[in-house]
Amino acid sequence: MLLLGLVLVLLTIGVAVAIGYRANESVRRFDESRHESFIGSNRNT
Amino acid sequence: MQRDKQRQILEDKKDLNRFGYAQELLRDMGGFSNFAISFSIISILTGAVSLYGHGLTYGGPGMMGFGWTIVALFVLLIAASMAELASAIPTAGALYHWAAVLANKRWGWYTAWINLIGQIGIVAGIDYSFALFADPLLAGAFGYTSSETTTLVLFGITLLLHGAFNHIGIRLVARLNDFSAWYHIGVVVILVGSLAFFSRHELQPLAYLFQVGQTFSDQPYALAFLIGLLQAQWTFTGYDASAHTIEETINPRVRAAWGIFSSVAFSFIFGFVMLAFVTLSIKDAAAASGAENAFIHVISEALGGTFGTAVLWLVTFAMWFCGLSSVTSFSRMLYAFSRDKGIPWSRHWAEISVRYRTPAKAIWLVVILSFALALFDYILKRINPDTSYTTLAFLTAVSVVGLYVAYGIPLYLKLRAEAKGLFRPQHYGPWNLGTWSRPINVLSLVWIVFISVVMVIPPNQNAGFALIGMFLLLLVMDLAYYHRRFPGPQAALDTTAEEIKRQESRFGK
Repeated sequence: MLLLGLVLVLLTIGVAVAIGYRANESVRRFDESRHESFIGSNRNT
Repeated sequence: MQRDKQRQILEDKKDLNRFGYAQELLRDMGGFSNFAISFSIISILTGAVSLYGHGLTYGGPGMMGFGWTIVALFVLLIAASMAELASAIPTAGALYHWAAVLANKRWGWYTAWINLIGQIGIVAGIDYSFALFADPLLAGAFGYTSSETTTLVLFGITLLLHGAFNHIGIRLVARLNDFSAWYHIGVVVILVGSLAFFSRHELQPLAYLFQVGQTFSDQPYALAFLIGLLQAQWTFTGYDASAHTIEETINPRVRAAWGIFSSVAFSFIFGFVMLAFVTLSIKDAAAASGAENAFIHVISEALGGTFGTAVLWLVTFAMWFCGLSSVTSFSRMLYAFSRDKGIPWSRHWAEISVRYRTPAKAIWLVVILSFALALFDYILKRINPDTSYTTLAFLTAVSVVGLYVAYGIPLYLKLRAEAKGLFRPQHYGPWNLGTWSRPINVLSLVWIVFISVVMVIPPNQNAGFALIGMFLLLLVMDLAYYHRRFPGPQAALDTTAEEIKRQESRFGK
């Protein structure tokens, strides 16, 4: 169980790092001119 | 530098104005402050500590190794999904605002109320945890006998203090939150260092942390393990605070999103290290689980009376900071929902103190509602003193289900809007997951459904009944009044630029 536990901990850290990396890339590549505000484009009532 | 900051604040104000809202709250929080508020509400020194006995009793030592990590893994996915939405729709209403614009105002209204119920539970649960820990410590110092009544009185005083600090201003609260984040890290380091170097007995082998199959409850282990997950699941709540303080954060589309995600990630790491050392310090797990407060028992056994008491005071202060932040978050949510006229007497709760730039009346309503929830449970226990559940388990289960259902609704609606072709790639804010978004959203929802059921199974069924009762009340309120009269956040889009300017001019802008 120790091995399984350690793998799980490393997996969780790996997921956190991967998501963080991915989000950071998105922030760096963000192009404001192509962005559209969702609330402005979809006025549901 | 100062000019860049002012330019960014102006940009953020314009972004907010596009949603039809005036910049009423003081926008002064940086990235660290935004992270700190969620990190302080997650507060590994509150949830993981106050429910340590719950986790140990049901899941044994393996709860700290496996339970904590499994929950963290899924909560990371939920936090990432929410961070994306915060980046795309950056308003203080957050969850309910996202639900309203992704579907319609009624989805938004229900999300807001479910979130509100969870927020009442979380504020009450946190401050009640503080009172539970502080009351015996104060009783020892001042020579009175700690009881449920003295705990309730201390809980009330704590809420009053948190109300007063929040009323005075976001600058003070933000500074205290910044300090709180460092304080949490510092206390974990002291606690871990003390247990590693000054423990009276040898630490257990590492394998002990992942030892499964041992429960001190009368439930079969698999079920007991699931019930024990409440410890970790309750700890990982409240990170929506980064979204609720979005109108007070500079460059929120990036910073609030990071605040949501990183507060969960860092809480996992520091929480795991702390729980590992505390659990490895257990001398007798059966005695610890049977003690009135398992955490105090383990620390006292390992570090001795005086050292143990000092560490406990440090932990108790961390809970105080956690409560302070949770009042901030809840009051902002309440303010935003009242701004959209979603609750009775909305005009009052949406009022901003001109002097302090805080939603003063909403803050005091938070204090009253949170006290009322704990008082309700206190009265129930007076009527039925043989009840087996604890007040804390009741409050925390209510908050976990309320908050996670409210977290789940906008995620589901976002997936639905995507499937309908309404929410498209150009609608994502700068912080997004790209092609990973959909699978991460789906996994998040699966976990939310699962955990919402697990949190209300016996012996915690009273939380389930309370939630069903509240939901029925919502249904009545909706059908009787709000389905026709709730304008929803979309109505704010019709606010004219002149009106927004007029509102902002009250604050000297």
